[in-house]
Formats: sequence, C-alpha cells, structure tokens
Amino acid sequence: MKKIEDISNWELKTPLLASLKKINGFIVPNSYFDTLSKNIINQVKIEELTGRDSLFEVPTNYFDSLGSEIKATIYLASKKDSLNSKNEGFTLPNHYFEISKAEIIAKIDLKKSSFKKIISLKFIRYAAAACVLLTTSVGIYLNVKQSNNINYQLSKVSGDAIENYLKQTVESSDVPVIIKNLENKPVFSLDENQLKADDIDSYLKTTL
Amino acid sequence: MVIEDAYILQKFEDEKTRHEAFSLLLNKYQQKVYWHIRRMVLNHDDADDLVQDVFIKVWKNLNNFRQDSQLYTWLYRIATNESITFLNKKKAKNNISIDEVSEQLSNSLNQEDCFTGDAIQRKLQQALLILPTKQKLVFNMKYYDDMKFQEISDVLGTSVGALKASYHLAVKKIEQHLRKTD
Repeated sequence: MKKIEDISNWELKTPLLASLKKINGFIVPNSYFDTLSKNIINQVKIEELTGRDSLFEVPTNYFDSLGSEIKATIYLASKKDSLNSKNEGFTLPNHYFEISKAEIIAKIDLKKSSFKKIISLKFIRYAAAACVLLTTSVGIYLNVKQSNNINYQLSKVSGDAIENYLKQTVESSDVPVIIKNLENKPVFSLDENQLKADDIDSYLKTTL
Repeated sequence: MVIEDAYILQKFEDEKTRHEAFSLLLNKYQQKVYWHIRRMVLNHDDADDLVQDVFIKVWKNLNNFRQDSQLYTWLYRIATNESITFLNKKKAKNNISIDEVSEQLSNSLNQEDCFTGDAIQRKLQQALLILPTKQKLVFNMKYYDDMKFQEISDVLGTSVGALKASYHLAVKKIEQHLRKTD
C-alpha cells in the first residue's frame, strides 16, 4: 500500500503532467466506429472462406519439393536464354544467313528440273524391263505348252520303236483306231512301176 | 448494459451463436483496442489495419483462450504484439532507426487530419515518442486506460515491480520533456 502511495507521490512530483487534462486529440473519421464492427465481421467471413484448407487439394508433400522445382526451372530457363544468345553453342559460317532470296529460289528451280529428268529416265527403264519380262514369259509359256503336246513327244520316238511296239501289242480291235489316226497322207506311195508282185505277196502274208 | 465476458465466451463456444458472441465482443472492446493501437502507431489507417488484424486473430483463437486471465488483458496483449511487430517491420522496411520512426510519427502529429489536440497535448505525444516502447506502453495503459499494474503485468508479461519502475521513469522523462520544451 505504501509503495502504491509512493507511485502516486511520483505523479505529484510531476505537476505539469498532472495538470494536463486527459484529452484525446487524435482524429477519427466520422462514423468510423459505427462501421468498424461490420468491417471486421466481413473480414472474418472472408478469412473463414480463404482460410479453409479443404477448399483446394494439394498433392502430398507438394510444398516440400516446390521450392527446389522452382529453382530448377529458373536455372534451366536462365541456361536456355544464355545458350540462345550464343547460337546454342554451335558455330556458323560467316554471313550464313545473308544468302539472298534469289540464290535460294535458283537452287529450288535446279532441284525441280533434275527431279523431272530422273522421273523420265526411270520410266523408260521400267518399261524396257517390263517388255523383256513379258517376252520371256510368253516364250517360256509356249515352250512348255509345246513340250506337253502328245504329237511333239511322239515325234521324238523313232519309227522303229513305234513299229516294234505295235507289232508286240497290237490286237485286231486296235486296227480301226490305227486306221482312224492314220494321216491322210499315205505312208508310202505306190508306184505301179516299182511295185512287184512278190513284194505284194510277202506284205499280205505278214499283215493278214 | 454491460455484457459480461463470461456470457460472450459461453455464446462463442456454441457454433450457432458464435457470430452473435463475436459482435458483442466487438461492441464491447473495439474502441479500447483501437485507441491502444492508435496511441502506439498514431496514424489512423495503420491503426485501422491493425485493429482488423487483431480481431481476426481473436476470432481464430478465442476458442483457445484460457480463462485464467481477463478477456480484455488478452485482447490488449494481442494488440500490443501486433503494434510492436508493425513498428519493427516499418523500421526494417524503410531501413531506418527507431529514432527516425519516432521522427516520422512526430511529423504525423503535426498533420491536421491526424491530431487536433492543443500545444501541450502535442508536446505530451512528442514526449511519448522519445520513450522506449515498454515505457510508452506502460504509461499509455496506466495514464489513459487507468489499468492496474497487475493488469498491465498480465498484458506485458512483466512483473508489477518492474512496471512500476518503468512507469516512474516514463513519467519523469515526460515531465522533463514538457519543462524543456516550455
């Protein structure tokens, strides 16, 4: 109690301060305190909405790696910029980009004409190859067809062999077939002057 | 009609009446908190921002308020911390010393849209600017708000004896400043 009185005594020892009226000299806008509560409540509502963690979902540990990812992206971007400013590290011939438009067009025209020549030469080459192939194919086809013909095959057999074969295997029933397939052309021509009576007799004896 | 803190806290616990309780709390304490901040930062716009920040913190943390201290000392503690943080940030942001901050605040006292007190009142405010932060806080709460040293102790977390010493020193410096400027 005594100490408190001491404090009061200290105040008494400051007459100038003690003589001052406790006036609030600060200015506040009109009706400030009328709207302050409303403003604060509005702020609180905004804070409630923005402060909710569940409004947006963030992947687990997202913020742990976010800093390093941003730093890495910035580093890569800065490196890319520096490379771009130095032709990406490659050197170019002097005045490379100063080739005139006319030169480029001339080169394009030259390429077009050589392209046409290549096309016409190629066409002739392919046409000739097709002709050779067609001719060869037709020849082979005809050859094969001919070799399969019975007459062609029989022509290669000797007359004696055929004669022997007929002597051994012919029967009386085969005679009409043989006669039918005989060529119109006679096997031999009879010349009355050359034909002798003995030959006719011997022929008839052997064949009948 | 004075609404008891216990009633406000009880209503705040129920989600259905939380907003109503907060409105009661604002009506009861918004001016005290505002003037406590305003005497520290002097500028109205700064004080307005800070008072809103303070009450947003109150809204978020009132559920955690342990009723071993009075509600208004808890509010003052938040307001004090916000004010000190603001002044330190201002000092760091502008890369200036605390004396230069005081000088800026002193200049704002000379603006007509800020302070309309008479010459002696202006001198008193300028005298407060030369005080260390803690002495200024103690003086404001004792002189303007008529708070008891125990209550100031609850706000600042300093012993009552130390607060009395601070107040004694503050009063002495102010008296000297008032005499000097006279």
